[in-house]
Amino acid sequence: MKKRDNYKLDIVPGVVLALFALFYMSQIPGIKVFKGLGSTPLNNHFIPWLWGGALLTLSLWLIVRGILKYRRVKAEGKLSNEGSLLKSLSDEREVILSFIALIIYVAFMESVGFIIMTCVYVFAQILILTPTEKWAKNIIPALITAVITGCLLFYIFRSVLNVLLPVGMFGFGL
Amino acid sequence: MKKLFFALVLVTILATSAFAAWPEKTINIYITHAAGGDTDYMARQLAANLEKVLGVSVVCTNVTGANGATCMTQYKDGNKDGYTFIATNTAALNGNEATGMVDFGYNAFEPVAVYGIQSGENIVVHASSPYKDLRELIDASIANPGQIKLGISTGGGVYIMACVLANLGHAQFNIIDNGDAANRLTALLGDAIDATSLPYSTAADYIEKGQLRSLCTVLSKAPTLIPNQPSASAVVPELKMDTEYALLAPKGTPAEIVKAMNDAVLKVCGTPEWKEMVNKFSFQDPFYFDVEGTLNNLKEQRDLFQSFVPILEIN
Amino acid sequence: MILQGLMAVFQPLTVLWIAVGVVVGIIFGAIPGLTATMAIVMFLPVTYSMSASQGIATLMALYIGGISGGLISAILLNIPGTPSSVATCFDGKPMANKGQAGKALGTGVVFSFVGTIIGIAILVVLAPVLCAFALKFQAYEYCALALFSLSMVVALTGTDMPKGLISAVLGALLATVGLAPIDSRPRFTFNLFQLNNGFALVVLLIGLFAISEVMSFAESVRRKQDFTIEQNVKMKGAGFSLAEFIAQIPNAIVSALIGVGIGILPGIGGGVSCMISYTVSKNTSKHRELYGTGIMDGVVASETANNATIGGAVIPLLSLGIPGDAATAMLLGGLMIHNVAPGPLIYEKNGAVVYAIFFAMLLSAVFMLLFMLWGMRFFVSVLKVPKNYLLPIVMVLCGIGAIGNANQLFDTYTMVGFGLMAYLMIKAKIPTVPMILGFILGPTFEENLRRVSQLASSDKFYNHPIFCVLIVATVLVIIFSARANIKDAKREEMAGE
Repeated sequence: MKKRDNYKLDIVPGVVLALFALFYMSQIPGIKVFKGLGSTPLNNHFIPWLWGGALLTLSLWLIVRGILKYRRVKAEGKLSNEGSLLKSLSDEREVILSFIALIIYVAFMESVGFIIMTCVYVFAQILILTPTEKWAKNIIPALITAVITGCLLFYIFRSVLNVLLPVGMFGFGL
Repeated sequence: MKKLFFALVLVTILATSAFAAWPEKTINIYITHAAGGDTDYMARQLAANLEKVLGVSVVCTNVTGANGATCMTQYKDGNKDGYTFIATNTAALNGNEATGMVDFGYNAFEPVAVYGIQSGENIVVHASSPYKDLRELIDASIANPGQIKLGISTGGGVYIMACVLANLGHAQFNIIDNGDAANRLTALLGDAIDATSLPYSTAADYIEKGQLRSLCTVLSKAPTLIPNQPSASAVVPELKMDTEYALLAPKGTPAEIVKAMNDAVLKVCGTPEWKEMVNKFSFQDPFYFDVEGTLNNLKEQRDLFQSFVPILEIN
Repeated sequence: MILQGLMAVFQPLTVLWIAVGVVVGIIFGAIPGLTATMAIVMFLPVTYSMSASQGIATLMALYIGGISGGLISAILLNIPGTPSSVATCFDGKPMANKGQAGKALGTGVVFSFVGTIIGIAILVVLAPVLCAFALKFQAYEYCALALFSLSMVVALTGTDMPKGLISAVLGALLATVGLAPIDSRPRFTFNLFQLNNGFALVVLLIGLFAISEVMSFAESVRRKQDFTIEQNVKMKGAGFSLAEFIAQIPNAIVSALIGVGIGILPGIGGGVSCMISYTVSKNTSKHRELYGTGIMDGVVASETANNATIGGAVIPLLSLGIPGDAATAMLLGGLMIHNVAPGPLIYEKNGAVVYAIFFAMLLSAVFMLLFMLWGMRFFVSVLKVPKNYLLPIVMVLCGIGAIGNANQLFDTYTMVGFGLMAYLMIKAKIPTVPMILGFILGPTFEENLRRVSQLASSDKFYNHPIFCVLIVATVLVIIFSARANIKDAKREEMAGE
């Protein structure tokens, strides 16, 4: 696909960013302004307005550019039908699974604890990044890697370097 | 009757044995300021010495940000088992409450001990400036309103100092924000401001070299090892900013443990090694209170800071 | 005094500590998520019990090792190990893809050494002169400097300008979350106290580079057969010839000067210096179109500059007691704790310690060179670890880095959020690199702009020649970069047709 045909990559991010910019700017009036001694003439609202406004302008630019591209492509009659959303999601299933694994990992780290969640996550992530047909060969090495990673890193960082890695409900590692 | 007596004895034994066992595992101290600062150094010195007294390891962790507010917010309701403590300084503890950064004060904790005092901040000017003491500086600002630039860091202890100078000392400075001590030093050396407040330790060498002049200390009383300094409170009586190092426990930590920890802290502070360390580090003699003294001291400071709230014009 | 300093450093125990510091620094630097600053933070308390020279020497070794170690993961994994090696990815990774991982590493290591040495040389010889210059930088000058550095975004965006600018603005916008500069009022924190600190640069970097690298690998799982990237990496010496070395000298010198210059000015730091020197090197080169395709010049520019920044940052640290960035702020703490007060009297009062610092830096640089050249074979073997095993472990380390940064579990949530954002940005073909510049420089710009607004009534801008020069330079950079970008875009279009 030629670069200039790619109108979707302008319109979709443009719309998302414009909405984000509007949301961002809607929060600005709620910021407490400091009026005490030595308060600056440009208060703490100014820069958020500047960046918010800049982002809105730039995203509108993107949208307009996208629409212009769309018109040109349509005029040339090269509008292509792309596959369904479901299919493209399934094409990216490793990415989606990776994100889900990552989210579960950080969400439960505090309650379950670093060691267990790390073992589970590393194991799951290795398998996600391995083609399914090779899983049989990889399960045992993945398991070993996961357990070693979890325990070793916990020991090094929690016990030696005093990083506050969560111990979790089982109270491991003390 | 006998049964009751036995029950009572049993309870007492159980209770005391539970506490007698303290400490039996690692004690965690959360430090509100970053490694390398004075709050961190004092807390870590205390922890290292507490290990010797208590016989368990004492682990320090820095949880930093927002002048200590992050750590204090996080641990004020922390584990009450007597193995969690917070090391901070009183300027952050009372200052953050006064400036509205947080909505709680020392009462949200079980104060354990005040265990040291800073060498304090000094009001300094360029050596070439005509002002010899704080009185002259304030008078000059009144004579030329808005012409003398005072560098501050908005919201911190230096800000409170500036507010006191302006409202209670009637000074009329042009207040310029310069950020932390290092940046205020840069601004003063680069002639961007006429006066500012700097920690004694930062300013000392410049004063000695003859580049800067100290007008006064803002401590209520000059440090024991550098006694010949005028105090700001001689000119503006309310201007007393004593930054002390404090050890706190989460609210609800048993009083017995707080007392036991305080005993250990006092034992540490009484040693000659401790004296040598604080002499060298903060030019002060050991400075510490028992639990009750700590509470009184914190209350006194908080009352002073709260009395400034109307003049701080926050919000 | 020089001799005293020499004696203090060349004691067996101190030399050992320096060696340990360099190795630990390299490891922290090389692991994405763990930075040089973090290494210093974690080891600072260890140095409390050492002598002044020994403690500072160890911290210096960590600093130099940490900044240098970042190039390893930048080249091998396309994930910068520290903020200072972001620009090393641009050409380092393409070189590795072409099978020149060894050459890229060798180049990075040798020129890191060259950069460090130039930085130290300038530190030793010119410190007092440069300090006077650094003092000229106040609110006006910083405001203009931030703008000038931000204008580099235009040069970094490539052919799609609006998207590059969006990235930079988004970065600056993210940096407004947290307590506002100057008045410390919370902004966009939604009453979460964890957001008061704002977002950490290292967490953003993890999201932008590490997570997106995992995801781009995840995309290719079903397409790739071979999971080890390279089987045969030939290593000979430093991987490049003497002629190539000589050809890079002018580039290295310019980059080192940029690095030192940025190091001297507090508050900017290595993350910016590598990107600026990369951009300058690219835009002044005769073959600018080759940048980004995997040529030595890019690696040289980035790695020389970020290491030269060390020497630069130590200048105001020692002579004025003013730290240039988070890492030097820790070093300042380390000095104060040993009752070495940096400032005008440091040579008179603690001359021996100062010379000890110089020698320790020199020794650290030499150790860094030796260890990294010697370890290159080993680093390259990381490429032999199947990526489906390596990347999950990298992710865990990133998580630890995010937690360890401020000892806050909350930062792992923002890490994942940034990862998601980065993935969507890459899908939308929005470049991620300008975002880092926006994120670092946005707050500097805001803080100083607001100070300028305080000063403007009494102190006019035309009294500040440096300010005026920088503003003119900014305008020129924007015009010329924009013109070059439009030219590149046309050429690309032609090639595409």
